[in-house]
Amino acid sequence: MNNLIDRETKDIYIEETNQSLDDIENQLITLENMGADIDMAVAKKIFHAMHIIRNGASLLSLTKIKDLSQKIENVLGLICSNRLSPNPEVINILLQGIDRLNQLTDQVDNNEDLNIDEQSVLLTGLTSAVLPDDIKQSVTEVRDIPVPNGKHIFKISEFNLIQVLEQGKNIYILMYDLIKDVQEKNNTPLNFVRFVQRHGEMIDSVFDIKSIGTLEEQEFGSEMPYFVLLASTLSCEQLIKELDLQPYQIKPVNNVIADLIHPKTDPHQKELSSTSIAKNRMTENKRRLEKLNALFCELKFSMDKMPCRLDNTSSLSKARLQTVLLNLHDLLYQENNVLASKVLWKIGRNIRDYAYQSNIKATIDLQCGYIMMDNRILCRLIDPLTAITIKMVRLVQDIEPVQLCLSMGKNEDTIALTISYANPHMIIKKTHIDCHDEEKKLHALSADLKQTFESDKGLTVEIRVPQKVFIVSGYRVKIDNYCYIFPKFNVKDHLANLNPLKWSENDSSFSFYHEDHFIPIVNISNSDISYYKNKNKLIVCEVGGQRFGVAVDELETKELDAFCQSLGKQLAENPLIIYHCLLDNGQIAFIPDMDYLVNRIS
Amino acid sequence: MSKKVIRPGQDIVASMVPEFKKSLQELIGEEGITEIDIDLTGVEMVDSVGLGAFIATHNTLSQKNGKLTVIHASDDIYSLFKTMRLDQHFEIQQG
Repeated sequence: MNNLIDRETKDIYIEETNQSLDDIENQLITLENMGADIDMAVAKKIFHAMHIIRNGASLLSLTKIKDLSQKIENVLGLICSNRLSPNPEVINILLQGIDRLNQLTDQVDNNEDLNIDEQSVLLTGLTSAVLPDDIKQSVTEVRDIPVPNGKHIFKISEFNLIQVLEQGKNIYILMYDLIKDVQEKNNTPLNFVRFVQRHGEMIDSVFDIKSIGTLEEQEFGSEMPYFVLLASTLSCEQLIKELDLQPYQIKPVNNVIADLIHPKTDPHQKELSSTSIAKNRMTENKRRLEKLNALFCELKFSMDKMPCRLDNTSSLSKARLQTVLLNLHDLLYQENNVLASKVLWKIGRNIRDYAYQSNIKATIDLQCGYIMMDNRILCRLIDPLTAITIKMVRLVQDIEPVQLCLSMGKNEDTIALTISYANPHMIIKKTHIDCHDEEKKLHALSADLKQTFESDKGLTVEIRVPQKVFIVSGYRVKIDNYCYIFPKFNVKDHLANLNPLKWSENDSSFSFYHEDHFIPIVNISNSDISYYKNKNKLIVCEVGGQRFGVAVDELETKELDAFCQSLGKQLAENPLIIYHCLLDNGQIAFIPDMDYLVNRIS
Repeated sequence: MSKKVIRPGQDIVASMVPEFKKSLQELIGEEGITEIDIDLTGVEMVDSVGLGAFIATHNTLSQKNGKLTVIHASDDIYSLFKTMRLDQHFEIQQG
């Protein structure tokens, strides 16, 4: 038998692919360093190299390599057509794909355990996220291409079809009878398939298995209809000649899917779908979400301060409001949720950078599955998780390469992130790392850290993060050595270097001239009413239409997310505060009850 | 439901298919086997008629709610079945 894909062919492919992947990795980093001003020649070179890898995998039926390289090629295609900027996030996702391809080629004969789901989700998400709405749909939309026999339908991703068409290829359905066209010509199915693949890419194929019949049927073996969906740069006439086809055996389908590259939209709609409009829409959505979050916080504050004992009518109203609040919380929870791997990839990137700077080999394999998490928590996890991971790398960095694994698990209330050593031979006797600073940052997220040591696994660090949290965006201020977070939705302005001439005193009440009005000053301090005299900063707040100022010692204009925690028994008695939270440095901060403050305006 | 492994031990080509087909028919029809593993150890080539035999076996077993599995397929045969999307109809395991 003429083995077209003998061991040697496969080995040559693997060797060339490994070399090519190394080159692609370096070129991607070069591309990233170019910033916005990318050299299109480099981008096209990478695209071409990936295209060759994908075609080779297709030819050798290395399904996983083919599927993953197809997705990488899709993203590279967008970069080459200037529809996607190769920013660090994009490059990192591509590098994750390349890493997985490397693993797949290293274990080409035994890669059943290596799934490509996570990389595929990230790459598809990337492809989808940057595209204008009309094209975005194409990533998940499937187009039906009916086979002329009327019995079968090819179901192909519209995005893949667009990519093929944009490469200037034509798409055809080839109709064969394997008995007449292969067997009677003394050819084998394998040689036949390879021959077809040399003239284009087999996007899909299907047997008409029903017409082949069963073992009992007399006509068994008399015909074997087989249909191929082929993408080729050759014209219909050229393919008829090259593949020795009869004209009835080939059907061009470009006209069936022509709308994919020439959308039936008028110029106005086209304008709407441009990237800038899509970006504006995303910004607008973000603003809406922030506004919704602010409304939720304000309502929750009011509800929490509502007296426990109410008459029947008020109790019913409170119960109804609480139902609204719960639903709003669920809605916000869903809106803020993103695929964890879409954010946590940055840890992999940080480790890669650390390894590069330290001249060691260290990688972290992220196994996040399809777990969704609050984006605000995820962003704050990057720093502490990176620091912990680097500490774990340092423990064993004399045993290269260091391979770590960050896996995620989820139960009803919490999400567990576990960092462990991926290679069991890397067991060391150190049972603990100092994570004091990281623990503070994790506690600020209401998360806990636990270290365990097992003789066969080594050190494992587990971080448990609550799934649903109450987050208030606000500004940190310091008053008489106490830290407060003033909710963003109540803060209208921050003033520093106050002009002494703008103060006014009247019957023991104080006010400050701000935006054409005198606004009352509320005393939050335990000290004398004239405490403001020692302070030269003011935070301007508004509650229920009433504006007032609070004089502070220090104020930060940078917004932060406070993970609110209920007050303990002692603090609950203090009417000035409604929640507390922990800051990244371990310090406690209080969230003032703004209703109480506004009521203090004398 | 009973299961049987069948090992042709030679290339699945037109010349052997009638005999192969007969033994499969006996297994399914007379012995009432509804799950068949075809072990391709030692099989280097499958021609078009041979492919037809696999599909016909799958069709026959499907009618009886049975299942065909191809095991120990060589790299070439595994690749061929995958390319031709036969893995969408019955399970194929590499050798």
